[in-house]
Amino acid sequence: MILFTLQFILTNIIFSVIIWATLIRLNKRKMHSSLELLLYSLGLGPVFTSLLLYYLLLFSPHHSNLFYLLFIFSVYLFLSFLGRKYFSVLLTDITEKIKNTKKIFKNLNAYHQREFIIFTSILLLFLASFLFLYLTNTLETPLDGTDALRYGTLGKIFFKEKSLEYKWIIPYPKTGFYYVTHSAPSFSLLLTWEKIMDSFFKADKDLYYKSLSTYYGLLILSIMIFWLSKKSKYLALLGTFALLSGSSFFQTLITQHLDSYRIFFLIVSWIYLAYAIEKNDFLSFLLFGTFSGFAAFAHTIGAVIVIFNCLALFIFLKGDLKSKLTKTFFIIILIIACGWLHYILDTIWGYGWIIFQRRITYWG
Amino acid sequence: MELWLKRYLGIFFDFKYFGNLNWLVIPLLIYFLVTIKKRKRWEMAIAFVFILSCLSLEIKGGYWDRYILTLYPFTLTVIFLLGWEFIKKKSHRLQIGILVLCGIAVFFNYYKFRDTYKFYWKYKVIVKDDYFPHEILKFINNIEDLRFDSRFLVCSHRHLFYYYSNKKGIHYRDPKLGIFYNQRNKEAAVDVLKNQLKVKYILLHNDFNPSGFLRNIITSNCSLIYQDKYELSLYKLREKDLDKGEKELVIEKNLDKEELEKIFVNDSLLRNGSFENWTNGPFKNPVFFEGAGNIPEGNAIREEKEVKVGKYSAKITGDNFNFYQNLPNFEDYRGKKITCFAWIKTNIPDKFRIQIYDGIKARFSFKHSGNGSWELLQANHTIDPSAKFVLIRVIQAAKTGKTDDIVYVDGAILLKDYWNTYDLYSRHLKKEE
Repeated sequence: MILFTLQFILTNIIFSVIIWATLIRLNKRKMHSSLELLLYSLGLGPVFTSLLLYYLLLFSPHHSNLFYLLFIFSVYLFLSFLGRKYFSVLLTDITEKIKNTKKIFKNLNAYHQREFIIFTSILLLFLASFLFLYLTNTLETPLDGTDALRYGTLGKIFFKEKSLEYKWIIPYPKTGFYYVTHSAPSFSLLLTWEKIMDSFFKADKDLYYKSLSTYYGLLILSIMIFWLSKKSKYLALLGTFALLSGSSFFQTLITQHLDSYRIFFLIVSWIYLAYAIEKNDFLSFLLFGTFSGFAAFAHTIGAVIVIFNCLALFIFLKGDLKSKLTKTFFIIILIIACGWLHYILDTIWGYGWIIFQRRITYWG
Repeated sequence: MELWLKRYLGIFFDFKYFGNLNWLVIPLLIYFLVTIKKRKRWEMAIAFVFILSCLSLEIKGGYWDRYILTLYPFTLTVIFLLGWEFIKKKSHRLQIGILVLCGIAVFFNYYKFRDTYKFYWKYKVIVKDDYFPHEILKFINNIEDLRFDSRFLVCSHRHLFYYYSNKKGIHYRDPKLGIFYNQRNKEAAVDVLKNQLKVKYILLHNDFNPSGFLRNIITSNCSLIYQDKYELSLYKLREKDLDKGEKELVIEKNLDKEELEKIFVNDSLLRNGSFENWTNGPFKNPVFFEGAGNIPEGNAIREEKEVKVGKYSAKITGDNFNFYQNLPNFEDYRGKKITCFAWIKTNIPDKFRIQIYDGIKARFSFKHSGNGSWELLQANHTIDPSAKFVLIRVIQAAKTGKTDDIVYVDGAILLKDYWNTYDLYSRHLKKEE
């Protein structure tokens, strides 16, 4: 559990905050709220790590665990150097937010103060109860579910071989594992990352991999609460209960799957689609392209929907044809770099699933 | 209608998976389109992407709630944001009224599908009853009598096998098995399985219904090595089959058609397994057998033409039923292994099988293939030490909605220990010596 906590804090929090600090550099005109960006950035640590591992295993396979670990740490070290002046911005913003909340609270009448306390207590109680039950019970249950197991098996193969070749060579000769995965291996690589870190502690577990579905599910819930609470806190509370009243979302919080992982990136890509069209600033375009790319990197559904994203940007963006084409082209490059490259490689060398839907069942 | 509501319009009307407020996006979308001239570009862009995504997901992936889940959080957020915009200019009372109505609708959905939440609460949140097959996976990982190239034929739960086991496997749908399926007779198929594909063990779940040679091989050429409480079974391919002499003797004595019930009548724990005793009358249940409620009187009758053993068999017409005998003195068999054989004949595929149920867990035979001929099915079971009864359901019919499906059953025997037909032939031949 200690190792899991370490991996979770490192990948999901520290890496995400480093990425946030690098991005906030580009928020020069303060067009974006830093805390809102932090909320979205909390999902970037794992996926960016997965992307780095993807490129490393693609272009530099068959090295040691230490090589991959050091390379990834170096990248984050470099990013934290770039964003070094902006970590203090985070602390300042959080302190300011707390001060503002205290001020607002003091200005409320007694009734509204009680209401605020009760409301906040209910939310915190639910969250604390859920986390307690989740960490003591749910997380300890063995990994099951067809998709989670096969992505996990692939993740183990990548870890053993330190190469992506068995994504396309089926079956895996050492065990006979036979499955043609169509999506980019982003989710599987997160188990690979966990195994790489575990190898230094002689551990063999999958707690971090199992926790991803819940983590991204809570992030989606947080985004919904963030947007609805801008209108009314009661709306936010109703929205939370409404979202959980559909059993499919409730399942993402307690079962292991990549659904919440891939949905998170799509939702945020749409938020930044809106920002890109409305604010027309570089950071919005950058994040739109990045999150769209990660949506594609997470699953084939994302790879298809981001095409609609690009179309929407091109059609609804203000400006002349040249400017629209340039910006859309920039987004396409970002999308390819952040995940769509996999489908291009798959079309050329693999099953071409996304275009040809070839169902080659045996190769190798 | 259901196809449209659950599939093509699933994101709006599949209340179980997506709550019962999503349909509100349709009138809100109409409101949006009516006020489109006032809309900003980013709003139109989002609507554009949303509509295209809806169309593509519903058309391509609407049969799968996981694909439609992609739009669920976003749709709901948009409903609340657009809805708020719509009602914010209305009176305060109306606003509260609408929110309260939505709240009631939300909680009604929780109430309606509470069983789903109870299930997940039990198995995933408080983790009551461990349902994971730890023991059989541990057993597999500890198997040592394997060469470096030996394999498991994995018929069920392959992802569980590949993730948790350290052994080599081949999935029953792997194209490499084509050479096995294309063999002309069972002996050649067994040879391919053992010597070419190097299969030594077969892993399958009770629900797995193999066809052709595989079925025959599992029932005749394998020993049941392990059976866990979650219906996963592990078989080992026998290294030695019946030798040539024994095979000739089997054919000579017509053991395929031999009346097993007569041979083993003194060993069988079932009474009246060959359905010869109809003292209650030909149109009532045979002695010692019952039909569980949904076999109306007259639907389990004596049959004189379609007979495998003796003079009579039982003919049952119906759907979703159990035709069974209570095992007498079941307390003596707690913790013990038993095997039930029965000859079954039907034209209906994948509906009828044997089940042994002890109130805690159940074991099944393969289902009858529906080829219209007599098939000898078998079910193995280890009776739970805390069992309070044991029901030998010589026929269990799945629910298909067709109440006029016919099945014949005859020659049912129940033996102590795990057996397959190979063992029975060997035992019979040794007895005759």
